[in-house]
Amino acid sequence: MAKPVAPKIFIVDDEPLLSEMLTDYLAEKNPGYEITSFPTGEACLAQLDEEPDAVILDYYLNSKEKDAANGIDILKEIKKRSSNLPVIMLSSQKRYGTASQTIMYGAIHYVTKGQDAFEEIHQLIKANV
Amino acid sequence: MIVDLSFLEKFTKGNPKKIKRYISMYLQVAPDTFSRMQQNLAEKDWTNLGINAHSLMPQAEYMGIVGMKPLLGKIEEAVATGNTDELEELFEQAIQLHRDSEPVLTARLEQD
Repeated sequence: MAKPVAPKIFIVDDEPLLSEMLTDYLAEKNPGYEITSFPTGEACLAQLDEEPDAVILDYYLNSKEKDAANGIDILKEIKKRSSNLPVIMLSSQKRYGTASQTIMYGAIHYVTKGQDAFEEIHQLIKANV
Repeated sequence: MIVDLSFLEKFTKGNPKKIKRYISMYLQVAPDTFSRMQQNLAEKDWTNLGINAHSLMPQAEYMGIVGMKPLLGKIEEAVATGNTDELEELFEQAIQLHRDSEPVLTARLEQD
């Protein structure tokens, strides 16, 4: 019987603290996850041929690099290349318009950054990967 | 209380190495972000002021800096609604809170 392949999770956030905390949280919940984090969407797109099972994508990706593409543009590109890949959008914004925009472009869910975000993301990965 | 580390304690299950790692990461990022916000304010670069305030909100929440997240949220909102007259005062409040919280977080790094 073939050994099950570890689910591959990509995290895209320009804030290293959030990426680090989320990586630690998910790795503790499921040590089988193969997690890679990227500071920009462009870096994530460059590795998309590694066929991740889910992408957790920040909405704002240009607080450090002003020329970096924002999350919506990266979401559109991901869906263009891999329409079935589950993408979970992350943002500090609770605005309905922002959330609905990400869903319109193919995100499976929109998670507001906060203390409950880690578990919410874990549950979404479990349900979709 | 300026800093309430109860979330970080719970999140790390009291692991002192993780707590210190997260605090160190915050203390590396936050001063630069405030410097950029100060520059944005001086240059009336409202868009980037809002983006920088936005980026710091969750991190300040995870560090338990009491009152910082709502203040940064007000800065972002003031930018979004064009109430730029409020921005200098809001920024002064936020940077003062940062200055007050920095030694508390630094002291936590020296514990255990």
